[in-house]
Amino acid sequence: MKGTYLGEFEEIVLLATGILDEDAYGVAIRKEIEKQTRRPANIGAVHTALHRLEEKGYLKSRFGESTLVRGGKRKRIFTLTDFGIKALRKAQTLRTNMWAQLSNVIIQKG
Amino acid sequence: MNHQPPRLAKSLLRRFCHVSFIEEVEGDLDEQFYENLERTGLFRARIQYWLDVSRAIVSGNGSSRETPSSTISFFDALNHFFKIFFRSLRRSRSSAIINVTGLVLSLMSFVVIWLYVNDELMYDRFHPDADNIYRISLSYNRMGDGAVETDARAAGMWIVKMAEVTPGIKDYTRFSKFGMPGFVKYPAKDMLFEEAQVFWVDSTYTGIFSLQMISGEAPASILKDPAKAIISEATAHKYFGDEDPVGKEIIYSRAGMDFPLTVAGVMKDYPSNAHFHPSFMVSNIALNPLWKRDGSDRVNSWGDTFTYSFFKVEDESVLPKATAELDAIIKKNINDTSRPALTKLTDIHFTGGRLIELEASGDKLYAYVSASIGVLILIIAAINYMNLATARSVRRSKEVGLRKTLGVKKTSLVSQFLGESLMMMFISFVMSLGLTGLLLPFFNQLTGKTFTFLSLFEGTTMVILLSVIVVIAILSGMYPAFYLSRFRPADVLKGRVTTGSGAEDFRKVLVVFQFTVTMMLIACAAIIHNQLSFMQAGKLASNTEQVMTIRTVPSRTSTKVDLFRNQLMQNKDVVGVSFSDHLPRRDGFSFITLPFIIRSKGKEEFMWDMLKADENFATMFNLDFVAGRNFSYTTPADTNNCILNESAVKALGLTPEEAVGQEITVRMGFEENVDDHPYGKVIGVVKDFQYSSMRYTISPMTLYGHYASAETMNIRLAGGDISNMVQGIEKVWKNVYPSRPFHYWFMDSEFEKMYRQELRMASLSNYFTVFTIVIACLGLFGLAAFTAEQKTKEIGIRKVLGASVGQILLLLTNKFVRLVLVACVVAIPVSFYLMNVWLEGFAYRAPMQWWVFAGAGGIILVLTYLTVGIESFRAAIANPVDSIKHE
Repeated sequence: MKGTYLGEFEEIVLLATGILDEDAYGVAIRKEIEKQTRRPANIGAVHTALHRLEEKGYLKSRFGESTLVRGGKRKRIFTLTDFGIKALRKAQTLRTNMWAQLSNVIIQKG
Repeated sequence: MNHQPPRLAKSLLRRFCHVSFIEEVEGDLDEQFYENLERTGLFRARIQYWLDVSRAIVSGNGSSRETPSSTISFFDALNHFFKIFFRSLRRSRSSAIINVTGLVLSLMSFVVIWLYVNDELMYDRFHPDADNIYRISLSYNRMGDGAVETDARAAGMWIVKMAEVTPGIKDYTRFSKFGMPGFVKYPAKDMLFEEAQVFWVDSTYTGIFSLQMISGEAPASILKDPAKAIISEATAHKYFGDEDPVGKEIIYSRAGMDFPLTVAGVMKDYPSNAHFHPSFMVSNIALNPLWKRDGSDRVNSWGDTFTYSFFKVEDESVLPKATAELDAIIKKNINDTSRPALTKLTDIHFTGGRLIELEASGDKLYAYVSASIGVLILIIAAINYMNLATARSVRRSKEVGLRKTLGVKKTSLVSQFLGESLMMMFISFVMSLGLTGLLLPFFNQLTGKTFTFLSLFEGTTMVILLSVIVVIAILSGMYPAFYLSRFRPADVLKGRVTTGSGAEDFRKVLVVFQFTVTMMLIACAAIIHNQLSFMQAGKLASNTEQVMTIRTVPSRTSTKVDLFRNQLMQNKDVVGVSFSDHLPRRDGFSFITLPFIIRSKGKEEFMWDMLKADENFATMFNLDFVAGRNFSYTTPADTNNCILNESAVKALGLTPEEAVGQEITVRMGFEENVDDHPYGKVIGVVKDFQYSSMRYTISPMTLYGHYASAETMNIRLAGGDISNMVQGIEKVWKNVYPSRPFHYWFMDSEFEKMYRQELRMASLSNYFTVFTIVIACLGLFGLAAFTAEQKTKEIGIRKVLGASVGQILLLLTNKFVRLVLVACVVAIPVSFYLMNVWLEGFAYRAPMQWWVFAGAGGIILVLTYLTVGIESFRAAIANPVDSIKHE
C-alpha cells in the first residue's frame, strides 16, 4: 500500500484543487499555486502530483469542456475525495498539535 | 494568434505520453504556451513548452491511469445489449422458437416437480418442533412364518408409564380412531354422514400438534370436555354451510350407541402434506360409555394396541432410555418377542408397511425420482440451448470478428453471450410460470395436492427457482460464450470459419446424453405401467369390476342379513351376492390378524389373517379348492367352520388333505379362556389368492364362516345403467334397515386406492416422459436444420452429380441415427438396473420383457427419423440451382 504521507507540494496541490472547486484543472491549479505561494511552479510537476494524488485516492477526475485556446482538447477537472479531505485534516491537526506543544519562549522569539 | 506550439515537441508528446493522459496534458500545455507567449514572448514560451513536454514524457505520465474511465454509459451498454439480442433472435427465428419452447416446457416441468417434491419432503413439518416428536408403534414376529410386522399403534398405557419413568420426555399425547367409520347426525337439518376421520384425543393434543382455530373456544378446554367437539373447516362447511357452526348440536353414533356433542370450535384444515387429517376431534373420555359397556377401557389399556401415541423429547439422547423402558413394558404386558418401534413424526409418511397406518404412506424414492426427472428435463433443455447456440456460431462469427476488430474486449463479448442466455432463460421462466398457473388445477388432480399459483411465492420457492435459472443460464451460456468469443477476427472476416471438430464432438456427446435420458424415461415408464397393470390384474382384483360393496350391519344372528340377501337376489340387476369382510385387507377397515389355535397343535397360537365369508364368496371371486368343500348355507355348523389357504396349510406342515377336518378356533378377545371357546372344523383348502396389496406376500389366512358378522356385502352387478341399479339396491336396503345409512363403494376403486402412489407416479412419469421426448426432439430438429443448412452446397453439388433424394436423406439422417443408437446402448442397462431396484419393493413382479427396451429404442428411432427427416427432406428436394448459384 502506498503511504498516506502527504508531501508539502502535494498538500499545496490538494489545497489549491479545493480552493478552485469546479475550476480545478492543470493550468488553473498551477496558477493558483503561484498566486498563493509566490513561487514559480512547473506545469509538469503539477501534472505529476495530480496523477499521483489521484492514484492515492485523494482526488478524482472527469473531463470538462474544451476551449479554443486548448486546441479543442478537453480539460480534466479534479475534485477532492472524502479521503483527500480527511488527509488534509490530518495534516492540519498534526501541525496544530505540534504547535501547541512548542514552549512559549520559542513562539515569542519568532 | 499566429504562433503555434512547436510541432515537433507536440508530436513527440503525442507519441510518448500515455493515451489516457494525452488529451488533458496536451490541452494544458497548449493553454500554458499561449499564456507564456503573452507574458514572456515567443522564444521563452517555446523553450518552456519543450521543457514541459519532456517532463510530461519522462515523469509518471507514461503509464496508464488506474481506471480508464469508460466512455460508454451503463445505459448505452444495456441499450446496445438488447439491440444485439433482439436482432440475433429475429435473425434466427426458428431456433429461437425451438429454444424458448423447449425451455418453457422444461422449466414448467421443473417448477411443478419442485412444488411436488418440496411438498412431499415437508410432510408433517408444520407441527411445531416436529423434529423432536416420535410415535410409538409395536413390532412383532408374525406367528407361523415369523415375518416381522409392525402395528402403527400402541396400547394407551405404555406411553403414560414410559413418560413417568423417563426423564427428558417433555409432552405426550394419544389419539384413537376406528378403522370402521361411524356416523354423524345433524338432527336440526336431518343430515347424516358416514365419518371415518373422527379422532378421539387426549387433552394434551395441542402440546404436541399444531391446531389452529378459526372460531370457538380454546382447543385445550374443548378437548377436556367430553360433550364438546372441534370440527375442521371443510366439515363445518359440509354440515352447516355458511351458518356459524359453534354451538350446533350433533350426534355421533356407533355400535348402536349415540353420543350427543356440541360443536365448540372450528379448526383450520390440515395441509395435504400431513399424515392424518381429522374431521372431528373429541375428548377420548367421551367414548367411556362404549368401553365400560364390556368392561374394558381401550384407550387406557395395557394390551390393546388401540391408540396412536406421540411424545416429544428434549433431544435425541432420551431415545435409548425411552426405548428400553417401552421394551420392558411391552415384554411384561404382551410377550417376549414384541418390541417397540419409534418413528420420527417427519418420517412417518415415508415409513411404509405399518399396519393400521392412518393414511397411505409415501415413498421418499418417488420424491427423489421425481426430483431427478425434473433436473434431467432441465438439463436436456439446457443442452438444446448449448447445441443450437454453438451450431449457430457460424452465423454469428462475422459479428464477433467485426466487434473484435473494433476493439471490443473478449470479456465484454463473453458477457454479451452470457447475458443472452440469461435473457432467454428469464423470458422462458416468466412464460413457464404463466403456463404452470394454468395447468396447476390439472396437476393437483393428478397428485392429490392443493397447490395454488401463490404457492410459487411461498417460502424460499422463488429464490430457489431463480437461482436454479441463473445457474442453468450460466452453465448453458458458458460454453457458447467462450467458444464464440475465441474466434480470431482475421480468420473469421476472411470467411475461414471452421466449426472445429471439437465443438462438433461435444455436440454429439450432448445429443447422446439427451437421448440416453429420453430412452431411459420411456423404458421406465413402460415398466412401471407394466407392473401396475400386472398388479391390477391380480387374481382377486381382476374380478372386482362391476362389484359393488355395501357396508352391512354385522350381527350375531343371520336372520336380518339373510332377509336382505334374499330380497336382493330377486333384483334382476344383481348377478351374485356374497358376504365378506372388507377387501382388500390390511389397508382396510379393522383388526384382521387374529390368534388361531389348532387343537392338534396344542396351545400354540397362529397369528393369521382372517376374512369372514359365506358360501358365495368362493364362486364370486373364482377361488380354486385344493381339498375339502365350500361353506354351505344349509349346514348351520359352517358358521363356526373355516377354510384355509395353502400358505396356512404349509405353515402347519400338513398336506391339504390332512388339514381338512382339523379342529380350529380363533381367540377374539384378550382375557378369554381358550379351552371354553367352541371349536370349529377346517372344511376346505383353497389356492392362495390376492386378498391384499401386491406389496405383501400372501400370508396364511382363514376364511371364517360366520358371515352374519362380516363387515360388507359384495354385489356383482349386471352391466348397464349403474346409477339406476344402485338406486334399486338402496331401496331394498331401506326396506330392511330403515334407520341405517346406505353406504357403498366399488371394489375396483378400492383396490386402486392401494396403489395410489404408484398410479400417481405412473401418470406423472407418463407426462414427463412425453415432455422429455418433445424437448429432445425439438433440439434434434434444430440441429438437423442447422446441418442441412451447412450442407446446402454439398447437397446441391451432389444432386447435380446425380444423387437421388433418398441418398441425400440417408446422408443427413445417418449421423443422428448413429448417435441415437449409441444412446440406446447406454440407456438399456441403466434403466434395467433402476427398474430392478424399484421392482424389489413388490412381492409380486411383472417380469421385465426385452420388448420394452426394444420398443423404447424403436420409438426413439422412429421419432429421430421423423424429426430429422422432415428437415432433411426439405433440403434434399431443394433445387440445386438455388443453392450453388451464388458461387
